Amino acid sequence: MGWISELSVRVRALVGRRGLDRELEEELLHHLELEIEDLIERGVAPSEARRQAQLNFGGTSSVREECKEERGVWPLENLLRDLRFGARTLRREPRFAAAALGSLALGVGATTLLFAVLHAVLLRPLPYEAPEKLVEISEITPEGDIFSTSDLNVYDLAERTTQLRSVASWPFRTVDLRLERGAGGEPTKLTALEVSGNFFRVLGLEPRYGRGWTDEETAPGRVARSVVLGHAVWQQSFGGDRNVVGDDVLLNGETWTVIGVLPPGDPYGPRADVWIPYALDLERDRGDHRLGTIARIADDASLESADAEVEAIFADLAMSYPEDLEGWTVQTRPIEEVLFGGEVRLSARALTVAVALLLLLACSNVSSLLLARGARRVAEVDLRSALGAPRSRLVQQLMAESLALGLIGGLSGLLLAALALPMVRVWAAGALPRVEEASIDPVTATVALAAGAFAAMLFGTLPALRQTRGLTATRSRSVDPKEGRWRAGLVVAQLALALVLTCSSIVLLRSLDTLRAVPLGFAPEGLTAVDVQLPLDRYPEGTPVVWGFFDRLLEEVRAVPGVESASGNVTHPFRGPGLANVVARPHVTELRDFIEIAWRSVTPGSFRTQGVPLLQGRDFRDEENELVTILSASLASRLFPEGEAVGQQVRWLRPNGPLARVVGVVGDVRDLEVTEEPVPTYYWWQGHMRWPGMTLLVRSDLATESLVGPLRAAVAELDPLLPPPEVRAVEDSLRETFASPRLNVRLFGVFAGLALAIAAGGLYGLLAYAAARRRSEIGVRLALGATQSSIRNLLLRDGLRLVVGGTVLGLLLFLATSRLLDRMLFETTALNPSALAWSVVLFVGVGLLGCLLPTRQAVRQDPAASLRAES
Amino acid sequence: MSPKQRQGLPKGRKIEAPGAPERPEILQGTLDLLILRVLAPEEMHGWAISRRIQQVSDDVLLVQQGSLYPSLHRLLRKGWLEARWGTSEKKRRARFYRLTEAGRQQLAEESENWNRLSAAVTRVLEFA
Repeated sequence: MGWISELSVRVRALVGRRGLDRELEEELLHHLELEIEDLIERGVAPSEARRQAQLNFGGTSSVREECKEERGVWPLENLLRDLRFGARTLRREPRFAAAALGSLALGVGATTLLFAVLHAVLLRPLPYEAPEKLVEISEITPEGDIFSTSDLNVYDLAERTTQLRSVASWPFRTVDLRLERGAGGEPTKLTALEVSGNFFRVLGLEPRYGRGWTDEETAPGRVARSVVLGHAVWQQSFGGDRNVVGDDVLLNGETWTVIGVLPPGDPYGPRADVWIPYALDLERDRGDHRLGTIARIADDASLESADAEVEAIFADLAMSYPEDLEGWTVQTRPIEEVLFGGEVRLSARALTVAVALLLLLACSNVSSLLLARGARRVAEVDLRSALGAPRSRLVQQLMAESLALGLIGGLSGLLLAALALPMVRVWAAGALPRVEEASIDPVTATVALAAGAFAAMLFGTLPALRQTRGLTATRSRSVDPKEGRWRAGLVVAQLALALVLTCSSIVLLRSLDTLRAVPLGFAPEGLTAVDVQLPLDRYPEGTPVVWGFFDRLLEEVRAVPGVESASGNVTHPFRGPGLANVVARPHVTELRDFIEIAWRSVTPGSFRTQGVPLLQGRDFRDEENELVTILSASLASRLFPEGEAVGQQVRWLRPNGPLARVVGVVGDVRDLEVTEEPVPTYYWWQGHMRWPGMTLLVRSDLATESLVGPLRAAVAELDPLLPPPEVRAVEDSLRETFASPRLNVRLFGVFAGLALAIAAGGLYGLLAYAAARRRSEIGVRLALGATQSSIRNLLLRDGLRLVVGGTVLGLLLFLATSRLLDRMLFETTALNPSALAWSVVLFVGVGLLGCLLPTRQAVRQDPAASLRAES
Repeated sequence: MSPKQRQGLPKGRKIEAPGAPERPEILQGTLDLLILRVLAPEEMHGWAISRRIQQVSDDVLLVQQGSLYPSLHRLLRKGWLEARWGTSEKKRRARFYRLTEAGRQQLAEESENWNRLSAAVTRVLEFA
């Protein structure tokens, strides 16, 4: 009971403060009136009675204060008062406020952004049930590369395993489906991923509406015509109507049943719009590695035991089927590692380091500014102390001021982060998974405000303690030399960190330039790619209908006005698929002696369209009457180091595999990974390696956008049931492969700019403060005949000492940390002399600017005025 | 630690009027007890409380508003008093204070303490 009434009084004291004050006023007035009336009743004259009563009564303000305290509003009201006072102080010193709040807002803004991104990318749990029990299983080529699995191997693994609860797989190549009435009622292309029936169950991913497949629905030979919709497609093409579950839809002219709708986000594996069932094809060659495979570890098994078992099973399979699997091994990786390993982690780490540095800079600036302001407020603090405020109360007040600073700074930072987030989402798309889901949510907002408050408190503590130390009336008013050194140290540290960031960003920029200038071996500009995939049921693999279609399509496309040339390739440049196999000279008998190569299947004229130079021999012809191949220069020199490759024979796949005659040698290309050396490449004549899918490459002076219509029309004319194909500029795909390095350059560039600004601000603040403290000294010097330039030099010398100190320290720091950066660089090292020289020049320039401004102000004073101000 | 002590202010408080230095000092706790006692029979407003204490003590104890109102607020906060706005005998709006049940218990305890203490002090003064 007692605490409830106490609480209600306290709450009322805080909330209804005005009302309570009014009540008290009225009560006191009533008291005074009664006092006067009493005196009059006792015979005192009314005017005298009033005088006496008022005299007796005394002042009311102290009573009001005491009543307030008795109501128990301390310490919250004190805090609010201090906060208000702090905010007022900030208004009174706009330059200090701008510098401190600006620094804090930048620091907190960057931290908030980073948190929002990391939260979306790394911290948020994966949308799977028990993701730590999920592994991806890949086969490893004899050369040690991660590779896909084959149908028979997956089947045998699932049959034999005891440590894995279930195994799911999917062919990497997605299927294009034509949805008759898709987005806007138009025919739409849907990318479908075939997945084994237990795919969603293995992931533990429940469809939002409807269900996944049962085992019966996906048994070999009886695969159901049912489809699970992705969330985005469901929204765009099905109006987000949950009743679509159970409906029939027309895909590629056939009736399919919608059985489920997924929650938002990508489930796993290749990106797709819809998912359709797949049954393992046991007729396929065991060496046909074409599946992605994931598995859920059994409840009583561990990652290690599962890994050991999978390895044993594959070792056994390799023993049993040496003609397909000699030298092949297997790898089991937790999917968390697959998703967040390598580049993602590297980018995230680089981001964290940069942001931490920036926040540190911002905080040190605030601390330095608070120290400077503290020096200006010595008199005020002394006065408060003399009036009886204990040190604890003074520290509390100063801290509350810092808190006000922190809260306002935190709010501004939050605002800044909210403004910058859409930009970062665009920048980081492609470099960081799930980044498009980054948002300023309550968690992020709390982190921002907490970061601001925490930073301000942390960096307000030292100045507050210093300011209130040794408070006596006789305290010397002179500058504390230790304080000057402390601030100078902070500024040097700031300059050093800013230099580290500047150097990093210039080196990264250099690396990106190098990357952009890498010779690709072909000319992507003016090249447009069109993916056309044929449905297997109407275009069975390897039948004349398939190449008949593509031959006619190429003719149609070549006839489109503005098209210079057109050809077919099995791979979409910079998008894939990356196809690999092994080849050797005819006499090689051991599989392990085969050379790993990339292979492409191309139509005649493809090299001319792409701009790949033909170095020896000839291009493919429209008709070839034997197995022929064209080799890339690097493959030709590896297979035939002694010289002439044209006319030689090359064996494909395995020791007794097919032999092809080399008819030409072309230049090396980088058409998938720009950062890697060109892979030795083996070209098939399209007539021998027919795939039901093809990427048409079209060279034209016209922009890709203006080709979309005619190219789609050409496809529709040949087969109106095909989905409208995707048409992309090859240069766009090339740009996407730079997503990660470009993100690094942009982020470091922004961070370096911010850090430079903060450091220059810190330098400016320190020098301006020092100049202000030395005002009278400068006045005396000027009065005694010193020239303005001599004074300027005097002040500049101090500033330059700091800049030099910062430069030396920064370079040392950069040398120490440059190894971290090396991993993000392409064909450049962090210790690049010209990049470093540029950084230092830029940096010293900014530093000079930070020195010149305050010294100019200092020497422009009127000596008489400054001397008067001192006395 | 009470906020008072943090502010470094004296804990005891003078309650006499200026120009009446011969009157004894009443400690804060004692004033609380007097207020509780005076309010035991009936509810009163602030001025009446100070007047009643003055009358009953034969003008020895003079309670100024400067100590009265902070005390009243403290007793309100502790839940020993309740306050309401009503009409005074002179037909004016006034704030009346009344003992709560907790206040009544507190009065009983405090009175007993006081009686024991004053008896003890009296005995020491008489027989030491």
